[in-house]
Formats: sequence, structure tokens, C-alpha cells
Amino acid sequence: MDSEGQLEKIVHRCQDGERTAFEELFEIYQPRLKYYVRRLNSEGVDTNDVLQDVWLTVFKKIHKLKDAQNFAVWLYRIARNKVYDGFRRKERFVRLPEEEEFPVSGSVEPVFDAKDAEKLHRALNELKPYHREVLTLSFIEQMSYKSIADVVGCSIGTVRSRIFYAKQSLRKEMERQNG
Amino acid sequence: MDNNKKLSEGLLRADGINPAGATESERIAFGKMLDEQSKSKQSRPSVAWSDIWRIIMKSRITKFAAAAAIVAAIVVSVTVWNSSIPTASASAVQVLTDAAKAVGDVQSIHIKARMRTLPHDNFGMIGLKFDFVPIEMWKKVDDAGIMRWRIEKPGRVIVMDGNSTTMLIRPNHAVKGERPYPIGCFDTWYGHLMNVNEIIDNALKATMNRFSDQLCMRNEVLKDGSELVLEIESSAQGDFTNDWCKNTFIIESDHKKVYRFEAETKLLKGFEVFVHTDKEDVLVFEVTDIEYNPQIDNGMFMLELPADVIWHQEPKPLADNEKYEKMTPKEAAEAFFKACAEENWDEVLKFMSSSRVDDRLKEYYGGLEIISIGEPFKSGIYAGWLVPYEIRLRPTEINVRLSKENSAGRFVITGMYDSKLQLQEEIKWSNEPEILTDNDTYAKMSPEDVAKAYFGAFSRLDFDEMRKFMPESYVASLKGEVREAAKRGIDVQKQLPIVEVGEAFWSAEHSAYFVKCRNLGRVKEWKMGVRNDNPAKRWVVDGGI
Repeated sequence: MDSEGQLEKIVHRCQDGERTAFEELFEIYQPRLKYYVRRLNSEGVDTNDVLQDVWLTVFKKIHKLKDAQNFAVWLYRIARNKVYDGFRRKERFVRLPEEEEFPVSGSVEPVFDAKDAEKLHRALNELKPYHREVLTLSFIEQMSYKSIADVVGCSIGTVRSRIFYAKQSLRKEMERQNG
Repeated sequence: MDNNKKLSEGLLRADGINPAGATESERIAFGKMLDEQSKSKQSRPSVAWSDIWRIIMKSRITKFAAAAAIVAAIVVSVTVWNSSIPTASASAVQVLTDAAKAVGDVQSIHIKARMRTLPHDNFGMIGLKFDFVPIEMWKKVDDAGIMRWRIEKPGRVIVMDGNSTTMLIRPNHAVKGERPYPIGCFDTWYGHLMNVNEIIDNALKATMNRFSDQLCMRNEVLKDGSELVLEIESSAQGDFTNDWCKNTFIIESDHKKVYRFEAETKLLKGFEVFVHTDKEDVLVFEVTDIEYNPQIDNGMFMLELPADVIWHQEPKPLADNEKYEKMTPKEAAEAFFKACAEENWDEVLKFMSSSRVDDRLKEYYGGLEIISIGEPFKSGIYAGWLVPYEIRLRPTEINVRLSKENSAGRFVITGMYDSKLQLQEEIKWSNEPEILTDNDTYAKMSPEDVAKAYFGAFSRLDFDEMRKFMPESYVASLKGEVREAAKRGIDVQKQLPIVEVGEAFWSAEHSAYFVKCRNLGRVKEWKMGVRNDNPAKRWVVDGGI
């Protein structure tokens, strides 16, 4: 969304029950939301079902959203919960602990060029799920560490270190794929 | 356009997504959803009355209460006609909407339930022949909006303390989730009962969108007030070409969920799940008590773990991971058992999700002999493969301690020792052995005779005879284990130990008689679950051992 003020207005119109506002919101977020859900969901939970559920929840609950500026975080949290709900149905056992990592001070974070988007997309799919998730939010929504922390439910420090290591892994994976 | 935006669009394009907006079909679906939601606010319906009637009448559960159902149907239809709404789902929607409002202010909830399951097995596992096991659930949302919850059955407990989720499989296996998983994770589908509003939301969605589940809403007039009853019929999910997993989880069964709301308050007051079989409907889950807004101390959401805890985690890639990735499920099962046979526990660990190999597993499977490994198969929605196997467990030497220093004056068993005369299990007699009607006969028996008589009775599962040599509590416990095994479909007789009884001797060190015995090893025949849907992409034993 280019202008936060514009988004806020659309959210407020949705809260007033204006149908065209919902359609605008859907147009804006559906493509990126789809990308995010596909990245979370590598185990056969139906992406279309998840997205349908997410928008149904948005429609029914948007009146409860107190801060319209927070819409994106709220939306991605809903999506995340729906995906994990889908996992729950399929799992016998569990997803397991992910170790906390701390960036080495003075290390340089790789920068990625938009020209490499295709390679980056391929490499992203090979990352650990929790690395893939934070990078996806960072790349497609340009979310702040704070917002990502709110979506994934962990501390800002954890997000910072995850993004750091995720970028390192992504760079390595791209190099590996390049041979 | 800056690099970030270009990058975002480039990623979407690489995934075949048009960054400019939704696709036409998505727009149509979204528009339809908006239409349906808008309609539901005004008039609506979706489940035709004839459907409701068909569901009520076809249900084997409600058949016995057919008269009540007909009365209920009349009640619903009257409501429908009076409000000029042509179908029953309108009233269902209204009830659910009211019910959602009713639980809106609930800050804490405590649910007691019972389920046909095994105490230590997966939270979601069911068995139509299993006894009921008690289950309790607590949830609390504090003033800052932080949610905590706990779900517990005798052999397992799972706790979310506001930050992370930990499960303990008693006595000492644990799993930790680094994020606050939604309630219901770790296969505790019924954990969702604590999210009463979510249940209602889902039911509402099903009502309005005609999803695959079939739904019926009725009003039942009871002595102590009326109830609104919502029934949802669901078919088993998964492929049951091989039906091994059929009816092992709710989702893998044809079942009916019955929600009961108090008519006046619209609060959920009951919930039951019935699994349909060809012969009968079996109640497998039942809420026995729900308390809204109880005081719950935060200590309830803390978990104390034993010092020797064994952590389970997702397998990490090994140095020679490729070798394991290439294995078929059958090869993985063979390699696992071969490693057990050789007592190569480092190798065994490569097929496990635990941080170390449990000593009990070492003791049980060490030195086994593989009889056969069958062809792997899939069943239900299980993500892994099931591999049939038949193994013979290692023969072991045991020394049985006996004593006749009791008022009955006959030898009874007081302890089990290993080949080096190290105590394995103290057999405690809380009461003196009973004086039998034919006590003299038993009093004349030598230690060897007693050992032979006991293990002979064991091989026949003659529990009455076993009680003459072992304490009642021990025999009762063994009887319970045998019953559970039989319910799981295990051929108990085939798996009983064959014990060869040797000579008796006196141990001055222990001041007791012992009989040297040899357990010739028993055969175990079962199905092992293996799966490789983990980051290391190698096969991990997931159950069935």
C-alpha cells in the first residue's frame, strides 16, 4: 500500500460495511497474501481454502480491529493461524523447537537485487520454514521487525536474528543453485 | 519504483501471481462470499428444509429419539414460518450468532471431558473399544490479552504459558514449540472446544456456505429447560484403500458432532462425538462439565519437567544425510531394526526425533531378531507410511526371588533380578499372601515348582492362578495391560513371554531363594509409522513401536 492514510480510509469504510471497500482491500492484498500462504504451506493445506477462510474472517471481524494502521499485521496473523490450523488437522506429531540464533556482531547482511527475484524465489523455497516466513514478510510487505514480530508472535530480537541468518542462508542457497 | 517494491513484484511473478490484483475467478468467489454474507444479515438460507429432514431421519444417533426429533422439527418449522424465512438454517444462523455473542466476554474456561483413547497416546487418538480416559482443559485470557491454556490426560499434558507450548509425555518425553501454537495443535483437536466462539464461527460458516459437512439444528425441550442442539455429520477424510487408520482419529471416521447450547443463555453446555460403524454409533468423546469464568491460577499453565527429560525435535540434516534421504520406507524400517539388533544406538538415533535413545527402548529392542518386514502402505490422512513388521525380542535371563516367610507358609514371588542379580523390580506384598483352601498343596511346592506354576499360568493368562504367587495389585495391573493390548488389536497370546524355568539356588548375599529363568523372547507383530516430511527429509519412526 503506497499510502497508509489511504489504507486506513479503506479499512474504516470496510468497518462501516461498504462492499466496494472490501473489494478494494481484496485487490490490494490478495496477491501478496497468496504468496505468503504458499510459503508457509508446503504440506498440502489447500491455499485457496485458507485464503477463503482468511477473507471470511476479515469480513466478519474487521469491525473489531481497533487500529486501522495495524491492518496488515492483523491480516497476516489471521492467515498464519489459519495455516497452522490446517497443519493441525494433518499432523500426528508436531512441529518442533527452533533454536534461537544471535547474529555475530559486525557481520554484514546480504542485500538482494530485484533483478534476481526469480532466483531468490527458488532459493526461498529451500529455506527452513521459520526463515522463509520472516523473509517473505520482509520482502513482500516490507514489514518492520516490530510488525513481523507481531505476526509471528515472537520478540523483535528473535526476528532480527532470524532475518539475519535467513538472508545468509538465502545467499548461500542462491550461490549453490548457481553452481 | 524502488528496489523493494520491484523485488516484491518480482517474487510474486516468479510464483505465477499477478501483483496487480486478484484473478477473475478469485474476484468472482470473493464477490459470491460477500453476497452470501450480506444476504445472511438480511434473510438468507442455504441448507434446504428437506436436507434438514433427511439428516435428522438418516441419523442413526437420532433414530432412537425420532419422536423427539420430529417434535423439534416442528418447533423449528413454526419459527421458520412465523418469521417468514423459508428454511431452517435461518434459525440455525441466528442461534449461532447469539451463541457467539454469549461467549464474547468469557475470560476463562474449564472443561472436563472423557474420551475413548489411551492415556499416553496421541491426544487425538481414538479407539472404539477403548475405555474412557478423563481429559481436562483450561484456558485463560488475562487483561493484557495474553492467552494461556492447558490440556491434560493421565499420560500426557500440554501447556501454553503465553509464549511457548510444551508437551510432556509422561514420564519423561517432552516437545517444545517455540511459538504459542493455536489451541488444538499437537493433534488435540478438542482443544478447540475452549475456543467456543471458533466452533460457532465454523458451524456458522458451514451453515451458510454449504460446505461438505451436513448440519442439523433442533430444539429439544428438557425437564430443566430447553436446549438448542446443533449436529454436524462429517465423513472420514483420507484414503482407506487400506483401512488401518480408519477410526483411529476423529477426522478419519464417519462421525457426528453434537453441540448443545442452553436455549436461554446460548452458552455451549455440552458436546459429544459419535463414530458411525456398520453396527452401531459409538460415543467416543463427551464433555462432562463446562465452567465459564472460573478463577485459574497462572501456575496451572506452567509445567515442571523431570530431570531426565528426553526432548523431541525435528531431525537436523546429518553429514551423510543423502544416504538416509534415498531410503524407501521399507529400507528405513529395516535399517532401524537392524541397528536395534546390533545395539548401535547412534544409528538408531538417526531414525528418531528424540535427543537420545530411551533406556527402556534399548532394553526392550536391543538384540532383537528381524523375522519379516512387510510392504509399506498408506492409510487415511496419515502423512507417513505404515510398515508391517515381525520381530523376536532378545532372550533374557532373569532370576526370580521367592520367600515363604509369610503366614500362609508357602513360596511367593518377591522380586525380579537380572542375570547379575541386580534388582529389576521389587514385588511388594501390601497384605500377607492369602491362606488358600488347598494351601497345603501349595505349601509343599519347591521354589522351582512355584516358578513353573506361575509362568505356566502366565502363558495361559490364568489370572486366578497367578494371584496365588503374586500380589493382587500386580496381577490386576498386568490384566489391565493385556486388556489394553487386546483392544489395540495385538495378538496377546502370540506375544506372551515363553519362560524356561531352571534351577533354584540360595543367595547368601540376599538371604533368599532364587530360581534362574530364561525368557526365550517373544514375537512382536505390528505396523510401524515412518515419515520424512521434516527439514532433513529423512525417515523418522513416528509410532507403532
